[in-house]
Amino acid sequence: MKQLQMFMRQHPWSWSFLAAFLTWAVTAAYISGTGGLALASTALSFSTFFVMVGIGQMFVITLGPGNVDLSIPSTITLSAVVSMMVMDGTNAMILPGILSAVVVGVLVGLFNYGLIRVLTIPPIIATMSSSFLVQSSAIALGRGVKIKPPAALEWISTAKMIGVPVLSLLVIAFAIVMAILLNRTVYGRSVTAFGQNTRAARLAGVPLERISYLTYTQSTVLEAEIGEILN
Amino acid sequence: MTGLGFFASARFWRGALPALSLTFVLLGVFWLQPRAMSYFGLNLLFNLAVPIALATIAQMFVIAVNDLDLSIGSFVSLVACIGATWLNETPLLGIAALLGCIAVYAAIGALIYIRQLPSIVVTLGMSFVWSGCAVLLLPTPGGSAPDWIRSLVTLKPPYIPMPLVAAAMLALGVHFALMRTSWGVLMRGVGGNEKAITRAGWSVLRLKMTMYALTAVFGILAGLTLVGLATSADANIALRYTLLSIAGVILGGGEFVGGRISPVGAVLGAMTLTLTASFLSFLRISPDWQIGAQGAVLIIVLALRAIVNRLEARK
Repeated sequence: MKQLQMFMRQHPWSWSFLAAFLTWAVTAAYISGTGGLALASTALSFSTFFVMVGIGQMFVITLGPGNVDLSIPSTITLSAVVSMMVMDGTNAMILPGILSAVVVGVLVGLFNYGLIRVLTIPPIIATMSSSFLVQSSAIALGRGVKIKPPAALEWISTAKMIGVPVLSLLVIAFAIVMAILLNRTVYGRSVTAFGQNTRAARLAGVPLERISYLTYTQSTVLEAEIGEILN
Repeated sequence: MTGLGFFASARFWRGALPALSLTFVLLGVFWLQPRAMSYFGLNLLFNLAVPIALATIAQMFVIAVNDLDLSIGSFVSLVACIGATWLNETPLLGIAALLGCIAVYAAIGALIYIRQLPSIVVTLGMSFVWSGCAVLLLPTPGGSAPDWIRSLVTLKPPYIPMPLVAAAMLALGVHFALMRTSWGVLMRGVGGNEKAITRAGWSVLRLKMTMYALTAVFGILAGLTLVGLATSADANIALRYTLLSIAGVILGGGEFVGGRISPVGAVLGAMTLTLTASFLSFLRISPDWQIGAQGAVLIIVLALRAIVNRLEARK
């Protein structure tokens, strides 16, 4: 019991896992056990989007107090609209479509970074303002666009492997890669150093400008990818 | 600094920026639509700015103590729903519910301070609670505002339209209370230097609870004004107020940390944001771009402020 307590204190995330499990157990009990597995599978595939958004947001928040990205939902919409227009419903155009979503993500990230660093606007206001602009562009572009996603892309987002959605497996792999990126690479350590003590990080020679630019861009690129899958 | 020197100083320009932005947008509206330059026109233009200005002031109280309220939009919606149902049918129950809301807000302030929780997370959680209550109370849009509120918001004072009178009273009243009294200094001090306030023997807990309670009071005023203007309510009526109110505070010269706020600026900021939407519809720009334009206005004003700050730093 003592050990368990220690573990939970040292690993704050274990509370979230506990909460997720309890919520699932209560819901499964409520529907009297039938379809408990189906429930878990549905929850898995729906949560993939949140996991990806969450990881992007986490990197931004790691940059320190006050850093937050509010432009997530609108960037998702815009990149989805753009890539759907590029793909035009054909399998052959999937790669250019994905690339176009990445370009949208890079551009929005660059814009956010410019507002925050060059104009010294607080991140929450900067990303909110840019999200307004991005949202409007998405609405204006997407007016009347109703293209079905290419068959291959649709297959990936609904396929299952031994009952587990393929998408979830991909996202788990992605989360592991991102964890290694944050904890084991120079870039990841720089992001953490930036957030913990900006002045010390600067003295230690961490290229702050580049790191914060990369992080904001990375967040929006991730969002762009989500737009891709959400279709 | 004497005489004309003050007018060239960065401090003057920073203070004047909110007023200048509002004047600029207002002139734009008058130029496009001269008929707006009348008692009736101004009334229409600024009608919906009053609840937004009240919500902005509510948000400002929280920002003054270095916190952020992400639940103000759903709270104002809930108040509007209470106003259109209980307050109309069983006034006593309605008043009790509103008082209860103030108590809950004060309790949230206490919780955030005692447990040192991030206000963003706690208020984000509360926003779901408020929204849930609003949906339970009023599942479909409807209800009707009490007559006394409706007659209050449609008052027609001579010469100056009601929304302008209300905005001026709000701005000056809060400015006096927060910037000109010793009580206001204490309140802003919590955001400026919490330790100093504690050392001087004041209870930061009590001050924070007061600030959160004041947020609730102004949120309630916003909700009741809104339901008075709209005559009926909906559980999602004011969700966008959360972001609008934060933007209004910042546009008006406030800052996220350090207890630096400006009540007059916040009211002007809220009015500028409201007016931008009308300006664009007068320009006949497609409604698709209206939200985008609000973002553009924010960026332009904040860019101007960055320039002023940089000029000051160079001196």
